[in-house]
Amino acid sequence: MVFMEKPEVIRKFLEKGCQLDSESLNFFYQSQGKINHFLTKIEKLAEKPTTVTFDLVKKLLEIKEKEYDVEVIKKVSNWKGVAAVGDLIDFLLRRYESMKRFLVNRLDLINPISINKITQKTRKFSLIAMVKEKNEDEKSLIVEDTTGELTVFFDEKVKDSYDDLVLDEVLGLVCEKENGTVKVKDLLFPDIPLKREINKTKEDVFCLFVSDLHMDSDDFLRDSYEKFLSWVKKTDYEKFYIFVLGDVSKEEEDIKNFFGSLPDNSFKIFLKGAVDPDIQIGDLTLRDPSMLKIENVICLVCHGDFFHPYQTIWKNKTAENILLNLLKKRHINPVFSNRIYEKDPFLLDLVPDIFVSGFFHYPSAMNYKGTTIITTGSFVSEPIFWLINLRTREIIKLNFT
Amino acid sequence: MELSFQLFDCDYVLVDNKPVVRLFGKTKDNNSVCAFYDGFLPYFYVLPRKNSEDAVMEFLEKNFKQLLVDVVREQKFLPTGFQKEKTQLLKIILKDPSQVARVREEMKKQDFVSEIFEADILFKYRFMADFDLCGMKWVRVTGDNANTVTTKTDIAMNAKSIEPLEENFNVAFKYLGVDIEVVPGREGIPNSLKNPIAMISLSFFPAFEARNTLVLVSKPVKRKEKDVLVFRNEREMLEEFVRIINNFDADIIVGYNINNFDFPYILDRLRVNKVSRAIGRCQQKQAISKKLGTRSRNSIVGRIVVDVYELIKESVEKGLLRLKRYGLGDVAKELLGEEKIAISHGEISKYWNGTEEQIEKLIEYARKDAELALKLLLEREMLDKFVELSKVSGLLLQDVLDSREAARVENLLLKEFDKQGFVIPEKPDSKEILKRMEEREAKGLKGALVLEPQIGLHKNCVVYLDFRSMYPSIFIAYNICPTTLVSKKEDIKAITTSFGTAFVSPKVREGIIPKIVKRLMEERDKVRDEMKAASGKEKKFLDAKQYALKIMTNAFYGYTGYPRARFYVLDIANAITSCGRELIQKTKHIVERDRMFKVIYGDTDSIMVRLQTNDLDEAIKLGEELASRINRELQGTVQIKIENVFKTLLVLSKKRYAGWSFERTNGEWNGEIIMKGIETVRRDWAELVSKTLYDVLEIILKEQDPKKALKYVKDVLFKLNKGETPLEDLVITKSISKPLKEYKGIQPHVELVKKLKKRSPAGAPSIGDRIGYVIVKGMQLMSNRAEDPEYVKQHNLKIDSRYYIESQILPPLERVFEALGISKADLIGVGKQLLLAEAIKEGLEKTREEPLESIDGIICSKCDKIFRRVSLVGKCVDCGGELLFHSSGIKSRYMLHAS
Repeated sequence: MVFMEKPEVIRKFLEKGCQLDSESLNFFYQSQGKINHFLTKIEKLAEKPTTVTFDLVKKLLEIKEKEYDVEVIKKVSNWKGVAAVGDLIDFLLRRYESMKRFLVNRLDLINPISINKITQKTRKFSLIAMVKEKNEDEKSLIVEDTTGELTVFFDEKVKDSYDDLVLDEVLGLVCEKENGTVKVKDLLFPDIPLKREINKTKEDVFCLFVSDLHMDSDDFLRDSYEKFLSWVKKTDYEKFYIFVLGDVSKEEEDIKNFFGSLPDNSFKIFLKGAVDPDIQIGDLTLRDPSMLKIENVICLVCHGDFFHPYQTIWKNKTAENILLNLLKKRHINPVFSNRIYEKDPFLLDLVPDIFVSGFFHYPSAMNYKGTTIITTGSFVSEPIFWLINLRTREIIKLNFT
Repeated sequence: MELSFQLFDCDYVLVDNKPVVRLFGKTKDNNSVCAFYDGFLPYFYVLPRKNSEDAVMEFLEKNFKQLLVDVVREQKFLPTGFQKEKTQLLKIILKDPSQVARVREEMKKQDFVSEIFEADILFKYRFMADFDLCGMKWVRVTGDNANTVTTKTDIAMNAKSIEPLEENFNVAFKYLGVDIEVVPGREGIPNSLKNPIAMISLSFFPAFEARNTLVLVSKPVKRKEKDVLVFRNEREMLEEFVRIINNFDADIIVGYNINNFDFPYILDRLRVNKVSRAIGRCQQKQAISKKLGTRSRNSIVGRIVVDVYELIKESVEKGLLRLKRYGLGDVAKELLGEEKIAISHGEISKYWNGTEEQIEKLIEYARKDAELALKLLLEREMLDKFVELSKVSGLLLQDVLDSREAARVENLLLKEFDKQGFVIPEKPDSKEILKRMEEREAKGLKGALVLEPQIGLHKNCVVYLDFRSMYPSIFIAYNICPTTLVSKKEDIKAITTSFGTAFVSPKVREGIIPKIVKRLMEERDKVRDEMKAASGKEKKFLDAKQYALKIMTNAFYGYTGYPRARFYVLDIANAITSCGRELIQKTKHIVERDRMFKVIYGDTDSIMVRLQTNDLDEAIKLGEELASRINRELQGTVQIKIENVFKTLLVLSKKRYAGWSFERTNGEWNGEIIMKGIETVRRDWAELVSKTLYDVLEIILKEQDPKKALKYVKDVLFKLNKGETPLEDLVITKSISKPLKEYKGIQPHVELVKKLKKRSPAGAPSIGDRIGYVIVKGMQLMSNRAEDPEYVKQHNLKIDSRYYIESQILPPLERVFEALGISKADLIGVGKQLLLAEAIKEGLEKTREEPLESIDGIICSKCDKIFRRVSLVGKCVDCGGELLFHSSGIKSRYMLHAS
């Protein structure tokens, strides 16, 4: 099906002697597969209207109110205009305070104090601190809180955890002073709670996660793509959410054609990736990352371009383990690059039930304390993607090789 | 009548519903030949289920009586697993090759069919296998003259018998270089359905009608040269083009990007103009262009289409050439020392519609393009190894050029399996491929062993020892083949690999793959011996031969682990790599028993051993003794030899190193810097980067002085800051590949083109052109600071040294210095301190209220200490001073936050 622009949609209706109101035009622009069906129904009416209103559309197509329950609870909100140094300081402070709230009641954080309260007599203590610098040779950190900064060294027992730390993350450090040197004996990440209710929907709600099509690439696996289209066209779910998590193509035409090929009876969500042009398409267009509530299930969806530095830092970790590490830090992009937002989109003040990312071209799935972590494959390497039923939280692997 | 000719092409036609095979080629006297053979029919094999032979026969009789010729019982070995005895199969012989697939599909659905073999082999290759013919090899045919007007060859005959012939030379090919010029429409991209061809330029080897080149022009223009033909319109020009092809009767048609542009374009224009596309050696069959993904594949009956652009790219991929850019002009300049005529793509329309002089220049421009493509092919002898690959694999030359390694291996296996009484399996369908990939995921394909390298600079001599054809040798040593695979516990003499897979001993049955590999290796040795005594053209011919043999020999391992291969057996691929890993481990153990030696790196089939000497002669002696000892202890399974000696070696990581390598020639040591996995040639780098990287490596390797190398970098950066670096060394080049409005985001070269269009609309670059730019200083975004080098000179603009330092020079150097223990911070410190020093010196330091567009970091207003970011405390932790943003020495309380 070739995707039509709005003037073409209007023309199609004019040919049948009808005009569209703006709501109807938007509706048919998004759901082009329903046009012919609607026009057939119009023909059968005793009195054909000159203007098609959205009420008429809903009546003839029997569209139920509030079919899909999607709420965007967090999105990328750019800082507008000029930023002062103080704005950056405030931004980091807000992050620090949020993390502190996650850590401060942990029982294993013995004797938590602020850095300026450490005296010569202080022996055993804990800190809630942000990593300022790392010295790889000495396996030491310079950490800071709102009162000052301190150099800490890693005890043998926890030396292996050193490499898991990144700049600007906030964590709890259980310390002991030995011969004038502060040694870290234990680390505590903000983490997500162990005991929490697994969020599920009452009815079957299917979520498909696909990404990284790279339709304009020489390596594009057309056969696998056709196989995917064949499968998705045959789906017949009552509630079907299709998440397209970015890197579809540099060409707008490709993206339009792809969305045009997806089933009409689905809620299509497009999250722009690194290569995609700025385009509004599907039922909802998001930026990377975003947090949504589907019915009552919280989904953190990413394309994941910003995970690239963490791939370099943690060379030996697989994609899902990179995400797991960041989930435990309650911040999915801790390294601060002097870029601020109205609200930090990477901070996990809410715990996601599903945490999904594209970008890695590496399919994986795991569960951690009730959160499902998945990464998607791609149509240039392993065309493996995931379907989740939110009622059962079952993860189904879809292999289009 | 008896005739011998070199085989170029093979196809078939249907005559009275019967297939007639056609063999196209050329005789020693350069006469083109077509030999017809009508005595061959398509067939395939069926393995019925137990007691179901009759059911098969009935099914065929009932459903395909019209197509069926005969069903014959034949004894054959099945392809996988060792079998003591042959199995009875049914050979289904049909009338029409085009119906084989249909019959197969219907048979596959039947319960009484267990398996089907060889139904997906192209009829031409079925024929060639049965008659033991190979592409580009010689054929002897006996028969009568054929009275036919269907072919355009000097000789046509009806063959009664066909047999292969051993000849060791190639006929003198006739080459036709082709290039077209099209004046695009307003969109800027030529459309073959709308935009006519303006000119077709041709180059000939040997000369045609006393001309080496000819340009056909599709409108009446005044011409000075005699080798320019003008026409009233495009149609007439195309008709002449077709006449020339037929009269010159080229064997090889050559172009630069001809596969994806010129050829498909010409075919479309022939169609639009209703001119015959039968430009091959057949009067009826049209030339075709098929789009496979993003590439086009072209075929002309009896002729071969060669795209020099694709050959160049393949050579770069295989490490045989190093090039930064692939445009015809750049490649010709680099490899031939010749240049294109200076007309940019954007100017073609202007010249075509311009003055007499401009059209004259355009004609020369077009002529040069056809010339250069052909020259590259001939002077660089780029086709030779493909001709030899055709002979070794048996594939026709066009298929060798268009296919990958799997196709070449499979054709070779088809012939050998057939000879040994085996059938070969069909290509896997997508379900089977999926199953194989899941098996790979579950079981894993463990690759070769890459030892952890000792990162750093090795100042003593390092010998590089290489296992001679390790994987092929393993195939032979363990008799590894699908036909020798022992799957059950049989009471039979078998060899078990360290992976656990077992293969029958060669004394029981020699595997087909080991047999092929042994033969190829022996042939290669023989050719290499002949090379020692040869010189000039003959030596080059032999070199192409030995290269082709090497490529084929080494292709078998990858093939067995390739899920789309007919003969995919994961256990075989795993068996081979496990033997390889075992060998490397054993070798390491043998080497390090003696404390004098240390294995500092090993990768798949080679190891690097550090010796305790700096003397090259002693190093070679020790290396040779070591190699002999290893070969003795490995008991001849595989042979290891010295590849070369490094006087010094810098190892950065796995698969990335640079060394000062020495080889002895005529009693003298000759050294050169060898680099693996270290980019020194990248298209989006300025020349300064490649040069600096190379010079740094040279200092480190030849003088072993990292401090001096660091100082050298510092000097380069100082020079850059002072504006003393030649502007040419700072130019970055990118191409304009599509209309400007289709570019998303802001890119430097695109922004520059927009600027140039405003300055001089006529002279601005266009789609297809490459544009060079430098980044100058300024307050805008980097992409808006891309500027034309000429403009920079004229207006004395300052280069943005920060950009070149941080984005161009430092990144590749980081990795090199890291391996020397010089941290990124030190390296970056060199850069950043320089910038600050410059800023202070020039008195640019000031605090302002205007927001900075981009920032380098945070600076204390009091003590000038630089921080990566703001602190939680909100002020300088050292002196309590106010924190500010800074960029190239300018400080501000505000920054402009990009959306």
